[in-house]
Amino acid sequence: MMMEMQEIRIPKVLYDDIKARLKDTGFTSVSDYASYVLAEVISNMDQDDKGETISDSDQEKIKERLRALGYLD
Amino acid sequence: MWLTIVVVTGLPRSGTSLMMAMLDSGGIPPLTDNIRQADVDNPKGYYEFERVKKLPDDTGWLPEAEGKAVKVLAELIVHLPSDREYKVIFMMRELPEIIASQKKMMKRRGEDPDKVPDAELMSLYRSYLRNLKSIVNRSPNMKALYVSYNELMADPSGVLKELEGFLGGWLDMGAMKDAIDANLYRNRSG
Repeated sequence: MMMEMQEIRIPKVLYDDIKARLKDTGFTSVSDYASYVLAEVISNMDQDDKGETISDSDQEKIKERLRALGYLD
Repeated sequence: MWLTIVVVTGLPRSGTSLMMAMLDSGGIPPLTDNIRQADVDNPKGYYEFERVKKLPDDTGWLPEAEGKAVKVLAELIVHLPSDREYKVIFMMRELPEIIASQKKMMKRRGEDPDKVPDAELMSLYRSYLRNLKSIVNRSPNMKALYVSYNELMADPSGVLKELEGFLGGWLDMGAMKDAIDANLYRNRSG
């Protein structure tokens, strides 16, 4: 089944920038490459929003290093 | 009267002292006690305020920080009281550079710099920073600007423009630019 698509408008100068980068990316169309980049950005933002859990032992390793550097008492 | 507290944060060796110096030059005075003196690792000074290290137990210094810039280690930023508003400048730098610079500093302090292997530390720091950024982004009393130290050293104009937008147009941007000393960019990756 084909994925439903929507059009978006971007400035021509940005379109040209993306097009100029295509040759080293493996993508053949500006739309596919722009979709990929946007999906990556959104995925990173989602990860940033969720944060990451750090174990107590990892947290202690970092604190120990900060103390060794003189930044924590 | 300008009473915002500007918090400069990041990992040690990510450029927080440089940012403090830039803000000082630009017109935002630093909250510092000069207890930790300049040394070979930070020839222009640390711009630290020792009482910050006592967070969360000691928050009595916060009124002194109004209208000033204060350096708060990333580890401690979560302990800033939520009843105040902060403009947070979060310094980011390529992790291999941070680790290399920290190792030099630890050697000079007589500490073992290889207690945690570099690869493990890199992974730890990555998770740690992601977690802290998430906390800052979700805090309604914090507005954050993430500044790349590497970008700042390569071409400060873009970063300066972002800082001007973030802090207001009244800062002396020329003086802030002059405060950047490329000679102190000693631990480069690549």
